[in-house]
Amino acid sequence: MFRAPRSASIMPPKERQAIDLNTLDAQQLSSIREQLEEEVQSFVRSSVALQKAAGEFGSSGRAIESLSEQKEGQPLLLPLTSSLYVAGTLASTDNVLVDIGTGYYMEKSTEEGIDYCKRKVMYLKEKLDQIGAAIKDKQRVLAEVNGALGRKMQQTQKA
Amino acid sequence: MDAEKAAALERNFKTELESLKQIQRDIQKNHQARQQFTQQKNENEMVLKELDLGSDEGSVYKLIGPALIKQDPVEARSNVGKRLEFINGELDRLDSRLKALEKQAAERQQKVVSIQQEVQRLSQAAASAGPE
Repeated sequence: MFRAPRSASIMPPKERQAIDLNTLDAQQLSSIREQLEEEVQSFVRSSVALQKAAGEFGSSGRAIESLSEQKEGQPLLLPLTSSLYVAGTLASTDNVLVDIGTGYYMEKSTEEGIDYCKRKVMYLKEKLDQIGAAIKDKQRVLAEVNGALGRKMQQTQKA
Repeated sequence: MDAEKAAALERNFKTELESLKQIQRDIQKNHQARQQFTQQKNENEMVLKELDLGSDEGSVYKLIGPALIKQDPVEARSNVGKRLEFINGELDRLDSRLKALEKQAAERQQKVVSIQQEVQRLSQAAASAGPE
């Protein structure tokens, strides 16, 4: 059974108004910098979470693959806890129950189950690309703000 | 008389500022609720997409408490659809509420600023009249 990840919402990059950074004072610049840093941080956190979810779907897909290679009636030990196992047999190797989210589970054939995991991995990869681009974008703006802030500091020191 | 006026202004200022803060708190709450609903909307949309991919004969179960209960796929689809409708309705409601709140906040802000200016004007007048 697989848990559908809580989908991380990815906001499209906000429309940027053209503001000349050099017209802002040091205080405004540093508050912008703080905000940008926070945004970058939260994007990075989302990216890590998405990566983890993609990894889980990948390993779930492989688990179904290895299940489909087993024979029905294959004896196995089922973990009830990490140290307690009960004996069982494989009842079916061609159907899996997939958690599709919000408490719904769907019976799928192993092929469909593998396909489901692959689709999810693809979807997450796509989102990861989007978020990666957003992070780069933010970091570029952050570098610009840092540059403007540095210039401002030099000016004040000279004055 | 000026002292009286100043005290009245001060009181006015405090109540206006307090209500501005309250509106800002409401806006914050609105954002949080919206985030939650957006998340639910995404998840439900994904579930609906997945249910649409399955056949009408396929087995669908719903987790009720600790148990998985078998559901009619068609019914499950319409249930998720209804939930999405509700969520979209809530999002619309939150949107219009946010617009109203932002308008209120702008108005309050205006008032707070105008009171501040009034106080400044009075204290300047008092300062220039003071030395005589």
